[in-house]
Amino acid sequence: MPALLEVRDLRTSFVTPSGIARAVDGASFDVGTGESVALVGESGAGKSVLATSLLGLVPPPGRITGGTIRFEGHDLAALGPGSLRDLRGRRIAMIPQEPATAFDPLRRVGDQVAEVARAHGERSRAVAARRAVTMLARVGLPDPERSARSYPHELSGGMRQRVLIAMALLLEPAFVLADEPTTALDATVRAGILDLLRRLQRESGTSLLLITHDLAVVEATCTRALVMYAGQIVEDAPVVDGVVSPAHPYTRGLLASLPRIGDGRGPFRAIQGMVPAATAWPTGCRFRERCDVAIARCTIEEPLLLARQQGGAARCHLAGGGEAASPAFGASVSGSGR
Amino acid sequence: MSAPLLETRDLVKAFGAHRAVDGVSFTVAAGETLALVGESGSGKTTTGRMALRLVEPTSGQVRFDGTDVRSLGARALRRLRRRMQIVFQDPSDSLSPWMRVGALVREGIDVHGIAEGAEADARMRRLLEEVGLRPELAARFPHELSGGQRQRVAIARALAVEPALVVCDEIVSALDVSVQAQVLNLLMELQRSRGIAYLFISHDLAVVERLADRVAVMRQGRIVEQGGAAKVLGAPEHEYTRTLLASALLGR
Repeated sequence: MPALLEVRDLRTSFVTPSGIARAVDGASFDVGTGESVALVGESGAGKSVLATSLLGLVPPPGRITGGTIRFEGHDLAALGPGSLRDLRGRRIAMIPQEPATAFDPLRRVGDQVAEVARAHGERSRAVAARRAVTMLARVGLPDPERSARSYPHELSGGMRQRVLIAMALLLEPAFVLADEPTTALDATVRAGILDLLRRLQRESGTSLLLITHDLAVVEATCTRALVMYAGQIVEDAPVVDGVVSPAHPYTRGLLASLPRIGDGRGPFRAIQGMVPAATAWPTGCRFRERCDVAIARCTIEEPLLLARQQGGAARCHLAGGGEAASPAFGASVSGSGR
Repeated sequence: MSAPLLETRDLVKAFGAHRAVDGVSFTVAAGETLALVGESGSGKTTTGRMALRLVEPTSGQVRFDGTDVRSLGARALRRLRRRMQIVFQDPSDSLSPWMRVGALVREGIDVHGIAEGAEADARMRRLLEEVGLRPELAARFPHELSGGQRQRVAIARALAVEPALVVCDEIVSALDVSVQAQVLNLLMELQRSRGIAYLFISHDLAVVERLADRVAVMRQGRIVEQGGAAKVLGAPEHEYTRTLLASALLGR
């Protein structure tokens, strides 16, 4: 049975003054029904471009140049803008990062939530308004009737983020893409939002793809982490007992550089160097220049994303794919362009 | 015990009826790191700025090395800024986009007459190396650098005047975690080699635990708890500190 979302060898590029930036350069992964998966990476890794590609919202001059995105069996690239727009919101929803800018400041939040239902076929204003209030209650807004009559600026950042979650989940989508949903929030508020996301995701059986740079958020929320580096998925790491279990040196480095309460005093473990430019990805393994275990083979041969016996997959010659290894997520389709 | 390098007493900043900072007292000794932690709106940034008089306090005292900072005239205040520097969260805001890296780092050396001509240039190059930047980068503009490199430039710029204290205001919050670790290690090395004191303003308790000698926890303009880092973060007494720690752990 195919997965809910199947991405194969996706390529998205931008023409820039310093050359063609291959922001997403051969990304392949699946998200199954009801799964909660993280897409992790540092700035410049390509995770935001990957997200906009999935939604068909790549900003010009960016363009999907290869690969396929299949959702519920449909090839998203083959859909016209109208069908894609209908799919977004109804089957695919997005929770944006910045609760401050996602609203119309001059309209009551209840109306903005109800608008989602009306835009997707609810004829009755009263029914749409009732659904909005019910949803606001589900996401934990105190006194939902009154909250619905509030303007965005009258709510706290955490409450606005809850309203955005309400808007995303109103039509019971099969797939929710959340882009750094807690980055703009204080830590005490963040925990509540993540609890809410987890609870709603479990209750409704929705699939969640959570884009974040914060591994602590991944471990608290997801069962799998897709780690992105230099335009590619370099690891599909299982989260075991709330801890990311890494096989790729980059994932290990990221985890090590993340300070944790209880570590005590002392130096931080950094990854040397920095993310290369998308206009000139290194040959061979793209991480080799920053890797502390790289061997000669890493310079000449680009590793494939191979399934590991222990679970997950890694794009590393040293990750122990071994003889039993097979290409993760089916055979790699070469970028045919379109 | 010797007198503290920086001392604030009952520091208040009022905006109308609202007290953004409401009676804050702390000390920073030479060569130590005091972390000021809190969430947005806690008053930690305003407190840091009042220490340098970038924000004028409504009432209270600031003493630096025995001098009453609030009584200083413009010229004396400028002299004091040689000893007290600040690095901000977003280096793009503090680095003039039309100045090259070399000129940005040299600015403090020139303004304070620390060195001239070739000697000033040599100092600038040494500073770049000290913060882990290749001297060739002196010819670049800030927008040609990565976020981590820009923050290193901001640090080199602060170090140029050989300060005794640097206020670090959320200086790694905008950086990726792997780069954040590099910049924080640099700060710790500079403290060892130069004996600089830091007033380290941050919302991130896990970062603070790695580098702070002492911690002051702020909430709604007040310090609710302060003490040794191991004590405050390991065995907090205030309910709010416990809440902050629990949220940082995310149920771990």
